[in-house]
Amino acid sequence: MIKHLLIKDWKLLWPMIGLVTAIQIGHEWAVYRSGLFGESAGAEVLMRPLTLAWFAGIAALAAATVHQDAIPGIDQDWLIRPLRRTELLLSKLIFVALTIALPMGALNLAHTLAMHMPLALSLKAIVAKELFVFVCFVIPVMAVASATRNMTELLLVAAALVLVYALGVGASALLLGDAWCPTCNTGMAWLQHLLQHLLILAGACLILGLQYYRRTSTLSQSLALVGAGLLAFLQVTWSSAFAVERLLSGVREDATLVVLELGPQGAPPAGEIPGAVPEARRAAQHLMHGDVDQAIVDLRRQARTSDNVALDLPVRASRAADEMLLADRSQVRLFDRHGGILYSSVSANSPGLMFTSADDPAHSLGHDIVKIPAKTYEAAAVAPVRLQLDYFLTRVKRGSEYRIAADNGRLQAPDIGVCATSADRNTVTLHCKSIRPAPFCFSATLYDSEGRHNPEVFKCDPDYRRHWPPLVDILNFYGVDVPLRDRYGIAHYTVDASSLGSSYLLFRIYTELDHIERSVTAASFQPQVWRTQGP
Amino acid sequence: MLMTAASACKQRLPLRLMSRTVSTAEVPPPLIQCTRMATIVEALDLSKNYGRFGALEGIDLSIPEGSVFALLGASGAGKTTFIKTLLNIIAPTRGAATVLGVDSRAIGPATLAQIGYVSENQALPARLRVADFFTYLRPCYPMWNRDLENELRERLRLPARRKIGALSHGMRLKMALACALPFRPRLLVLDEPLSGLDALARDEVIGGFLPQAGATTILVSSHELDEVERFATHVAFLHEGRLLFQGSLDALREHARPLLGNSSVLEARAGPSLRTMFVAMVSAARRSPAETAAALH
Repeated sequence: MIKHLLIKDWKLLWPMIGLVTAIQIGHEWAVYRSGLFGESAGAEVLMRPLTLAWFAGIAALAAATVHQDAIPGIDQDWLIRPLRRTELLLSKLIFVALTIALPMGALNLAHTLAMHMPLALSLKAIVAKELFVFVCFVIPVMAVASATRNMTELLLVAAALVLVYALGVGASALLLGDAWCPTCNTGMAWLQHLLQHLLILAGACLILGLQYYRRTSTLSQSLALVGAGLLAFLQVTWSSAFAVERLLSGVREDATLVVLELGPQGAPPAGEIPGAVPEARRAAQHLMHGDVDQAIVDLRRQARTSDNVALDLPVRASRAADEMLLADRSQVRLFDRHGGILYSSVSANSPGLMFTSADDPAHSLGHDIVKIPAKTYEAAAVAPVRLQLDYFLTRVKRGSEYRIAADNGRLQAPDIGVCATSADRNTVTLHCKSIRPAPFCFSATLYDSEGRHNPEVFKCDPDYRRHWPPLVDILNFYGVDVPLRDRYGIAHYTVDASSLGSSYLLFRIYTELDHIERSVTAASFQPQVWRTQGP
Repeated sequence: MLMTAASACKQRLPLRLMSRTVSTAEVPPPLIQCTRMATIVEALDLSKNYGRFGALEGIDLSIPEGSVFALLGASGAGKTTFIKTLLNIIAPTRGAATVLGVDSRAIGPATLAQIGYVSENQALPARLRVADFFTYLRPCYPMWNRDLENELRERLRLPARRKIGALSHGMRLKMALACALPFRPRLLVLDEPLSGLDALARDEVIGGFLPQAGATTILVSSHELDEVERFATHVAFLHEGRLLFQGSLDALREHARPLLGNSSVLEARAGPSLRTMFVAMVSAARRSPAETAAALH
């Protein structure tokens, strides 16, 4: 009977299927034609609307498939036909898989092969992606559609779900403050997303079951709304997320080599401006790494008056020469003589502090800027207090290295995909597309033919997800801008546009090693010694 | 006092076959043999509430196999709710029903394969062509008779290539009727099948379609009393969710006589019409119980 239901739905929906497939073709064409540097302006312009149309199209097709034999109501033809509910549900799932996932998979395959990606890797990535889209997007849409009669009802329920979720997020942030989402903006955020996707999937399966076997539409809609509200409150705690990561990566024996200690006062790292206030120091650091926009943000922040007192805490890290440490989260606590907590704060925008290998092969110095309220500062200044800094760190190791011509270079390798460079008078841009997950931490250094080089430019956005397929594009896009010239005239680079023709980029991939915790303690801490800025 | 199924059975009321063409073999025994004759639908204390509104209130009803059972009542009397409850489309608030010997709440594909259903409100796939709809339905029913299908389609002049959404209301109803018979259902449920049809179409349905039903038990709901009188063998009156009467037409006449009073000369010769009896019974139901009892006795 499934076959006949499929044929019936095909006859009813083929114009819509044709439209959605056309959108998919258009989207894949736009992604392919825009290449690594937006080679086709038309394709580049079309990409965003086509991506939106792609989402809307597959959602509408999934919903329309369900609505052909709508569950709520009393006048549907299928209710009085001798159809097994399981067959009806299966036919809908198969139909959606055939009309959405199959064309999308075929188009993705054509795209990856046109980009000269390996066939086996492409097939693996495509299966993972189609499964991900199906499980995390199509099935939830079908579940909501099964609790509604038509598109109008579906849109109303979807709007209600979004509203309830937004209210839930707002209430959660209001009630829990900074702790409302412990893993947000960190490399562990994927665990939070995974939990949410699993809950949405479980809820969707429950609603599909209730609808197809019990036809309890009011209950299903209520469950969906309650679930949307609860979803905002269900958060993975930091400790459990970190424990899962440690479990997945394991902890290597050489992790014991990593030691953190509070560095000497007033010893800014090489390349920084001595005596500068923290924001100015950070601005200089960002400038050196070519991030002019962030440098301006730092300077603006510095200009802003504040009731807080900034403490500049130099932290020295010992580690293996080819390793870096990324601080995923840090906690600062000040204790009084009796062990009571005077102040505690958490910073979880990773990487908050990076210990790179750029300067010293075995040691590196990072500056943790801690802002404490003026009242706490005054109280702590009267009598020495105990300082404890707790760091949740990720060790990353220098992996493969590639050389690529600084201008119009092109390179293809299994672990980086296809990469190309483009340069103008200010910047060398490296863009890559890979069938594998994009590396979350990499660097590029511009060298000239005589071996002189500019500072290593890091791009580290911690993301420790494993085997997590992309939702829209089959190829993962990543890249980095390497500055040649400071537009503001503050910094001067060794290698500039004049030697670009013979220059090359050294592209380094850093891979995750393990996750560790380290603490730094100062038993008799005098905050006034470390004060750098305040009212 | 209102007559129930049980009391009708006790009186061994005659079963009247009117304009149906039935073979000798199909003719049921002349009396309702309540102890022996199979009951195809049985409802006990069937109730359905929508909030405080009682759409059905304690309906006790049984439909004998082989009958043409007309469920009559004004719009909003509860006819459609009763039918949908029987077919497990609506869950009852209280009471129970059996259809073809199966609890209505447990009706599955095996039972539905023996039930033909036509409703004026049936949502059919508008973008599908008529022929495609028949193609879709055929494999649903193991007993589908292709010859009967062709005969019905020809008799009702259904345009094969036209989309269902492009059909007129009457044509859509005829198509639904033509889909309900080719698998020789044991029970044919027609919910307001004549509603919105012109006189010609009604004749076409009554004269061209119903004779094809053969031995099938037919449950037909309608408020078109004059038309129903042409083919019904049994009737039940529903009024505001309550059952006023059920039984054969002769039993109905017996039952309604005290309520009718002076009838016209024409009615005196031919017997009171269904409409007259219905109006009389509804009027009685609207009176107080004491007034009704006085009128009946």
